[in-house]
Amino acid sequence: MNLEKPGIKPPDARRQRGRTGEEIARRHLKRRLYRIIETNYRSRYGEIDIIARRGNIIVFIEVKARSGKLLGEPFEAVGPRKQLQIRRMAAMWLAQHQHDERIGSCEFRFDVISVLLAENGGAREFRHIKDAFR
Amino acid sequence: MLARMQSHAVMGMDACPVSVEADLGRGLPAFSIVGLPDASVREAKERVRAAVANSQFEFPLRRITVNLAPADLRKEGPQFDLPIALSLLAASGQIKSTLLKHYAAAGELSLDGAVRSISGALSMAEGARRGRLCGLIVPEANAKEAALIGAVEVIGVSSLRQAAAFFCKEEKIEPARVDSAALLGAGLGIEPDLAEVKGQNLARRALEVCAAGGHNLLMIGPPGSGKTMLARRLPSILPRLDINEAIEVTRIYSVAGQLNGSCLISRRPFRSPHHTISHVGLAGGGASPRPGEVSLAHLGVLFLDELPEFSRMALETLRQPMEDGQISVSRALISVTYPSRFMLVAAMNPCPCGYLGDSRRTCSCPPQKVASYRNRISGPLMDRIDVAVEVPSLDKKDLMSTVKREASAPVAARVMAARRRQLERLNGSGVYCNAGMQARQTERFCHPVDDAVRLLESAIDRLGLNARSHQRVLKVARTIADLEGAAAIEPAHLAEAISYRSIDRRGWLGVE
Repeated sequence: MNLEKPGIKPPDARRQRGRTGEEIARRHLKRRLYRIIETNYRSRYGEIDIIARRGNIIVFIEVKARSGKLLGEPFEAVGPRKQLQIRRMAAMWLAQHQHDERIGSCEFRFDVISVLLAENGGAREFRHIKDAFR
Repeated sequence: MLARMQSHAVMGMDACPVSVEADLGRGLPAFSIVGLPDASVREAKERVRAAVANSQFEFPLRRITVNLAPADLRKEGPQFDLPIALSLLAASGQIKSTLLKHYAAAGELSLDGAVRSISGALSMAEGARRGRLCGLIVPEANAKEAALIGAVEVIGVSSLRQAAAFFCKEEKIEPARVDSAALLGAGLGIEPDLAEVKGQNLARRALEVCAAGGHNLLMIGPPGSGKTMLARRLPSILPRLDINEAIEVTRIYSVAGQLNGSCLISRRPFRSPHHTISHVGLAGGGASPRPGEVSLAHLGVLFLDELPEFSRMALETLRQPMEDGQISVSRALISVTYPSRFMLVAAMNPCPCGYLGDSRRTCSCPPQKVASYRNRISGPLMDRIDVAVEVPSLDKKDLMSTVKREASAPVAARVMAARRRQLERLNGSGVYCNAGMQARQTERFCHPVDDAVRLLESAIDRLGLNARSHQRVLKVARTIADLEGAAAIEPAHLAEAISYRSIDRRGWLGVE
């Protein structure tokens, strides 16, 4: 049996994989006429990968990229704890933009984009889960 | 954006109005239910979300707050799903209707948007009538039951989509109607009949007397002598329920969630709980109280087979409902009262092995065991049983006999006539039969003729009747006189009534 070990890869490789996934997600969103407001919005509590807007809806997007399914589907990694973290971050972002009138009349949504990476840096599988949690 | 509609929470037998408010606020999407919901109401969130999405509506991307007012009343049960979903759709502008606030709604939602049946719909219809609402939206399966109240427009819906269409006036739904007279007549003649009982003339007579006066009955006899068979035939000789009584019984079954699809209980209930029943099962209760067997037997028969085998606690529980015709169940959060005017019919063996006094088999029980077996039934409970009768095992002659035995119908006619006499006499006193008479009424209506008075005096001496059993003998004698249509209590009537007490003297029950 020659299983690929899902072991620890060098930090650089993991960060690179994350960036590749986010890049693929951004390209997808632009094609779907989302306007990207902010990427990698972060504070000491965490990070929101992408904040985008389409029409009247502002979407907070978490991107999960994986190179294999040994640990399950990529989107399964967004558990209750991660969801809470993203909600908190979103609330913080809203607080910072509360005087922005364009945002005041908007609705909000949380999406998850799940990317299974191929060897060549493209996507083997791609999923955009809209309204993934509330 | 706020929308509001009415619903009801069932407390005991009554429905308390609950106002369901949905507010859509700005901010991150969230869905919270406030107003003292219990676990089943909190779970409504997931059902409502799925049902709304699966009914081709949009679940609003807003901060949703649902309030169930008044906030100090505990809400339980899944019946709030439908009003929550409807007020949510109204708040988000997907239903535009001015009708909403004039209707109450109740129903459980399934994930695909179908409306499932609920318990207590009849009480809710009564609540809607008292609240002067235009109408009530209920699951289709409960529509007929709720329509028994009349006076309120009852709309049965099968899906959330249909309920929404009704409010948008896209679909006209005819209010549910029931022909209660036809329902009451249904199911005639399918009860077990007295003609099937062989022999046991004494017990048959006792059964008739008890049915006529509403007296409680104890049958004592060896296994297989026909005690259970006789008891099961008691409902067939009792007067039929009138429509108001039928609704009263139906309401209890509705609250208990035991209607099982029928919309009117048209026959007197016959409940025979197993002797392993807990006192809570008998009296009703639980953290959120449900009616127990004594209430499910309301206006009918509660049959306790193997009486001494019931737990002491269960038997003592019977005392309050037998005395008051209702039972109060108090729990930490709530206290409710259920009606429980039933006829008690109990059966027991004469001793643990069952064959004491049997002509064909010998009893193997030591005397102290027999005494302790009988002592399990407390004096206060025995005090409430008017008629005790022995049911001996049948001999060969009775078993093989092919004589045509009297059927239930003529007996029922005699019982009905006797009851009518009692009703005329007790008119307007809130008592419906001889067994329910208070001391004052017994004094007034139970006058034995002079000869009978002398008989009674000697019985008091011989049997050692106490004040209470003296009263009981008079009431039973009154019933026997009523069965005959006699105005006064004759010696024969009194003699028969005393014979139903002779079991005391022989030390059959309680202390030797």
